[in-house]
Amino acid sequence: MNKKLTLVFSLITFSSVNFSQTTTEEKEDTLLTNTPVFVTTLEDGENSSGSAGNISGLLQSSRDVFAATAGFNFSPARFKIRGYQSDKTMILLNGIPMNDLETGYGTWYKWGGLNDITRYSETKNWLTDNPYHFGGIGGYSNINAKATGVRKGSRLSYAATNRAYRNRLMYTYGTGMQANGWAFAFSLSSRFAKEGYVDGTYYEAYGYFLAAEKKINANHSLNLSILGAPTKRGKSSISTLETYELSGDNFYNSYWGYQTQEDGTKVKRNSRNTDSHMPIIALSHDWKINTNSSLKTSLSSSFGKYGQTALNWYDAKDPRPDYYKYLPSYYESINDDVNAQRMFMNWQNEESRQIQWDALYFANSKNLYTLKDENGTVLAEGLRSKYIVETRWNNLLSGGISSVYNYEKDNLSIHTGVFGQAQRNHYYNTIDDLLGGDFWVDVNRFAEQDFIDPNAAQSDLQNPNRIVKEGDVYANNYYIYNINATAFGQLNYTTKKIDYYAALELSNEHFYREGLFQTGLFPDNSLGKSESKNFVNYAVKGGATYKLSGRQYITANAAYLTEAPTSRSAFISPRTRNVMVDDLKNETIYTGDLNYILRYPKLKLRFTYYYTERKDAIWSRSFYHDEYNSFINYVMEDVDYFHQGIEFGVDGTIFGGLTGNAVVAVGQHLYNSRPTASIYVDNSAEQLAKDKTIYLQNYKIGGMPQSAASFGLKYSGKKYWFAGVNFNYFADIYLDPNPDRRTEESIAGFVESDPQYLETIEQTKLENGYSLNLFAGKSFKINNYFLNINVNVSNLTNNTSFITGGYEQLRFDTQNINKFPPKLGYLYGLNYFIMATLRF
Amino acid sequence: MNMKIINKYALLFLALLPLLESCKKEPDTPPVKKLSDGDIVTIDTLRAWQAQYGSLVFEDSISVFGIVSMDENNGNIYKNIYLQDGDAAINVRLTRSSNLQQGDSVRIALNGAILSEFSGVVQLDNVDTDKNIIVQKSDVALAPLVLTIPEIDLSIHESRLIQLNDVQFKASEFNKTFADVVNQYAQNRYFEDFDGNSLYIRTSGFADFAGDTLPTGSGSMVCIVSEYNGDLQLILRSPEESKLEGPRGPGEFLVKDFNDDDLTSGGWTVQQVIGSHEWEIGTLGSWEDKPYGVISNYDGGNTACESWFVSPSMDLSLSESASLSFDNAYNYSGDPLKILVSTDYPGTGNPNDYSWTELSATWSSGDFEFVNSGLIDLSAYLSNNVHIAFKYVGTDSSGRTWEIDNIIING
Repeated sequence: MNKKLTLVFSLITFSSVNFSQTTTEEKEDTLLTNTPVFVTTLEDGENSSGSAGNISGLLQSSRDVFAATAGFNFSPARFKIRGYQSDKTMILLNGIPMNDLETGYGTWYKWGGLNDITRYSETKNWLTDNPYHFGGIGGYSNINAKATGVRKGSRLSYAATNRAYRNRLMYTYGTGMQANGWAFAFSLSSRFAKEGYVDGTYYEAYGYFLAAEKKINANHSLNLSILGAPTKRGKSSISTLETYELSGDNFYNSYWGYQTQEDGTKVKRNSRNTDSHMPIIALSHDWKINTNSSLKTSLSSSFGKYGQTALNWYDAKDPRPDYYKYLPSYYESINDDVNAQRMFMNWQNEESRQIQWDALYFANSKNLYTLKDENGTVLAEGLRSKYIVETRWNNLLSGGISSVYNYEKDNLSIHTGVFGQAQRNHYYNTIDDLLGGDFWVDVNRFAEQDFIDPNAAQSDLQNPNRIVKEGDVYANNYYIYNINATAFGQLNYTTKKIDYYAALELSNEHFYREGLFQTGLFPDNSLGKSESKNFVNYAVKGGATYKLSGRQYITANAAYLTEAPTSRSAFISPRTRNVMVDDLKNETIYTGDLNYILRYPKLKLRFTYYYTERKDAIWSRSFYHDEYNSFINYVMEDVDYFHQGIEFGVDGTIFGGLTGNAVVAVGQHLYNSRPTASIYVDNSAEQLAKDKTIYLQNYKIGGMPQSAASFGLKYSGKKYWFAGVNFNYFADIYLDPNPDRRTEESIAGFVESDPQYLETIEQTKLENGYSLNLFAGKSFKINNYFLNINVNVSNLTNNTSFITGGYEQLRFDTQNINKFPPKLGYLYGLNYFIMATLRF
Repeated sequence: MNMKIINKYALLFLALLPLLESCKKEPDTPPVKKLSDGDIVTIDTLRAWQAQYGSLVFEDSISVFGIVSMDENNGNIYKNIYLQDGDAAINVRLTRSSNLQQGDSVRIALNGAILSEFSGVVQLDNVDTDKNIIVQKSDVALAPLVLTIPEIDLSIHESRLIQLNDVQFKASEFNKTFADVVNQYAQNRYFEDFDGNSLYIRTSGFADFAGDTLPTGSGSMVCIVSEYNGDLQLILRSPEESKLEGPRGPGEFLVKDFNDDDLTSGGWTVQQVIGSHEWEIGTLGSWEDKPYGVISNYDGGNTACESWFVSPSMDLSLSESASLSFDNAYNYSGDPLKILVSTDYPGTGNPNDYSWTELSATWSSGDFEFVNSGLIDLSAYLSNNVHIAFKYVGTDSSGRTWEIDNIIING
């Protein structure tokens, strides 16, 4: 057999696991060392904090068995390494920072599906030195998207799966560095599902990547990379236990419904569609100054659209089928058995428990309306839509420049760099579909009810009583600007017994809002630029590796950082006004870890203890409250977090081709302060609460297993095949607490012995869960073609009753805490990913 | 492989696990009031306070505990509940209608509540439904106190949940509904035990069951003891748990009191054998304007007449004994009235064609002086088709005027 093939297999086995060294390695779409890394989590529903955070997962290429297991086997259960969100991991592309400035989150949706490119990433999911950037406390991941980063030759792959999408086709070609000094590469990808794992979802996504690299001379090379991923998909909801029980489907999706077509057939239509395309253009210059030093300079830009649709309605019933007043439990709670039974029957039928598109069209078709102004002049006549589908846009325009100088000589290496990034997010709503109506009036329905001044209801005073039609901008329209400047320096020093590093970062974050509409409720502070906020921050970190022997190491890392609040959390109600949280302050983070590492050829082991505190963070959520007919903005300040735990991973050869691994994560992720909360309503200047004390200390951070364990076996045969099994166990899963329930106000009227007291404040712990995964692969060499077949079967036992997380609704009723029960999501049942790859 | 070293560090790892375990931190709690003994008052004490002080307005947040003995879900009571703790109970009036359920064990915070009396009933008024009633537990069993009608004592049992066994609605209530559902008026309905004691339940016209016809059998009733200015009245908790389906016991089987101003209501008939003078409704001279049945053959002169006033067919086959009583009065001279019983009369036709047995009764001595007939034993006639009849006879020269009222058949 071919030597190359052998090499591939040696990479797939665990034998070359290299814990703390930086390696660029290949990642395959199969288990453990080589996993598909883009794990789409269930949507956050109403509590969604924004558009960008909807894809999570780990860009995982480290061959550390812990990180690999967490990335593949744990992430479907929403496990987060060290309890961190994606904003704590720095994502870079060709060394250029890619995290969204507005939120801090990773922007995987920009290159979704380009797995042939993104697998060439260098990832460390822990506190570490970093030659590209100071990075985050959750490590970094640098995607090598240069033309020479793509292996020479062709790679064609097809995957069939039953997850978010059903089919994936990818083709990638790289020339490698040619004699003329040019290297070219491209990659195309398409992912498609008419209907995904969850009913009513669909997937239509493409990815493209083009890169050209020119080696000008021995010292200079230039690379241009362009990539993008135009994606359309229909989303899935998470809902309450009652809806799952009533529908008999733990993956009940409230976002879709049947719509009758002209020919009488009924078609599933999703109300929550995402349409995104944000290409990245990156130009890099590598300058090898001399044998010891180099300078890498990049210019980059990213721009494009990210739109999400949703139903909107005016003077009409809530069209969402899982609205609480459409559930039997609501009527049971008010002793109305007749309606409870009626709702129960309604939920027995698949069609009637979904969105009633035909009824929405019908309601619009009956609403003949003449709109007049105060003088009686007719402004519009026709069918005024009661229901519409709107698109909430968050469109990006950003640019960045970075320059990193590297010096390496003998035992010393120095990395220092400067980064400048500017980003403009354009938020606005458009009407996607009037659902058969003729027009929509751009007024704020809540303000219309509550204020005598007709101006108060205007979305845009510059353009009052606007009649809007499909495609028109309405409701809100504003920019958020973020400008960031960062400089860092890192020094590494190696001795025989100990390796050291130390790094320092200085950064400046600047943001403001610019309103394009003059909101009727806030005429004086909605149009034009807001106050600008500026934050200067610094960060230091350092670490040492003590070499007990060539096979055993003890390493320690520590960091102290201050971080600017994100503009996403700083603006209270950016949809309507230029108002920010009072006393915005930097978040302070200190963290450290202690690791013991073994690296024998047939046994690898890492044991880590980590400790992290975050202080003075902001926590904000928006949710729709039907009694206010408006979004409520809930902002907590001075939120502290506490994370500590152990990470343990071992893998090694048992005998012959049989290897085994065990991974254990025991974590304690807590809220660590008594924050203060302020509550605002989008459609009103009224502040519902100010500086309310939240008794949140020591509540568990929810929505993820705090602890998890995995045990795996893999057999690699001599004929280039392998097969294995993984058993994964998840524990300490809590619902994320609704802060407002942990207040003096929420329990006012209760005494300690009242059951409602504990019902209101006690945190819900979910059942522990497990999953069993199988994987297998085989390679063939046919002439000069290499064919790899990989099969992954996740959740082999089809365990569909494992609740992996959820959250308490922000709305609650203390007398009947179950009136607004938590929203929960389940682990997908048996799912598979089968891929054939042909290389030539 | 250097197992010793591994073991050493593995031990370190194992040592850290319990360390993490020991770091378990209790979640924060918002400040919450703890109830001490001084913060709790019993229903008994509330009743005593009301007796002592009359009206009281609570400003402090003391609490009273109890079990909801009657909720308002069937509409028989509205914006109020009955609360009981052991032997003491109280009526609780709410600011808003509640979803409380019978068997809910609740704590009521008294701040804002007013302790007072209304129509003789001690009540806790102005209790905030949303804020001040805290359900502690649901489905707590509360057994009603089993009493007999004579045992009910308002001074002890007011607002208590009681059960009366072997009771039945009086025959005079047959075919009536629990309340006036059309006009939504509350109404009283009389019932009796097998010993002749009787009492009434008062039902709201808004109750779910207000329009249901009263059951005619016997059984147990679960009620709240209430009063209206000293008059004992009971509130039926629900007809579902007080099914009166058993055989009727001794008690009023049939009552004809003419108070509905209708001679033939309830299936009574007049069988005219001779002449044209018939039984009719009379009101002259009767006190309280209560009508009665009357017959006379005098119309400027006497005319020969034979007129029977016949009861509906009665099924006494389930009764162990039966008796009859009625009031009667007469004036003028003529033949006496007769009271007769038959077990073969088909309900219509000339009574003389069937067999009738005359019964002895105490009769009026004239001058329109009403007397009661005394209890006339019908135990010899416990068949399924019993008729009684008053037979009036007058001649061309004489005839009395007979008045009858309050015909009661017990069975």
